[in-house]
Amino acid sequence: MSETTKLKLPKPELFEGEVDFPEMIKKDFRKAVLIISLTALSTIVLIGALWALAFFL
Amino acid sequence: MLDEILVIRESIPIFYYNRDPDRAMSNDWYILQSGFFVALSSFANEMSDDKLKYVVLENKLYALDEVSDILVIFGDKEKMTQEVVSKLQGEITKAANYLSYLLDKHDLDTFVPSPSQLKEIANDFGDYLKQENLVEDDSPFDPHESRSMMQKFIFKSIGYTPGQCNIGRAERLKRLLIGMMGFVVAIIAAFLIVLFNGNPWLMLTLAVPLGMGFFGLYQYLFKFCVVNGLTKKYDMH
Repeated sequence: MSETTKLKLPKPELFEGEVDFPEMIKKDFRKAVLIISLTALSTIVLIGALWALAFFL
Repeated sequence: MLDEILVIRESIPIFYYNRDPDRAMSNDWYILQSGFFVALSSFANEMSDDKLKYVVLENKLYALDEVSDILVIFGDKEKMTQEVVSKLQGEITKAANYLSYLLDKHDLDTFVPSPSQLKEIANDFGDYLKQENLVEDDSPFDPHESRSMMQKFIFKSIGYTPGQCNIGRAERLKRLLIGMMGFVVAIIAAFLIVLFNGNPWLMLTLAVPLGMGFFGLYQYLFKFCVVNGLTKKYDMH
């Protein structure tokens, strides 16, 4: 195959952008909610433990 | 979106070609579409350096290289390697020539084409591809299910996976740093409370720095930015 007929794939440079597929948006949303929930839960548990420690000791 | 693309690429029109069930008159009815993927204009700009023209049809992307007169097809089922393209060389060249012929026929190299011209080319090219059996997946287009090859290609290349990873290394480290700062502030504040006051209720004020700490840490661990996830964005830097 000659030099000119080599397959050229487009080089992606779009490292940031917007997502416009509904199911992708849904998946991202679920993950975001999961992280927020985990954060809230972890914070509550740790604060509870710290409070108990300070209260009883 | 089409206007934007055409403005950026000026003399090189971009066609996003697909079948739209809402507008389809019959199974043979094809239309040209644009604007399905947000990043097309930048991609088109990138490709314009190599004088590429491309057409996306159903699950395939047909890219016409003017220099080599080759129509590159990105397919879902078969990886488009040089070998595969070589095997398809005859058909590809024919399809490329046919598309070139259509573009020349409608004189689309020098000005912004009208919607009727685009529709006409889409119909002609669609007929040709079907006649030559170059279209494997001819199922009706569903914008909710269908993926443009271009968008998939971009996402896969940069590592964005919906629901799993929407930030790159630099962004992750930023969040880890913010998280660690939160924990450090919380630890210092806890020591100060114990040292000077001892009131257990004051411990509740640590919720803010601790929350910040966990928020940053989880985002780092999950490779996922919550704000991006909620605002439909990704940043893979």
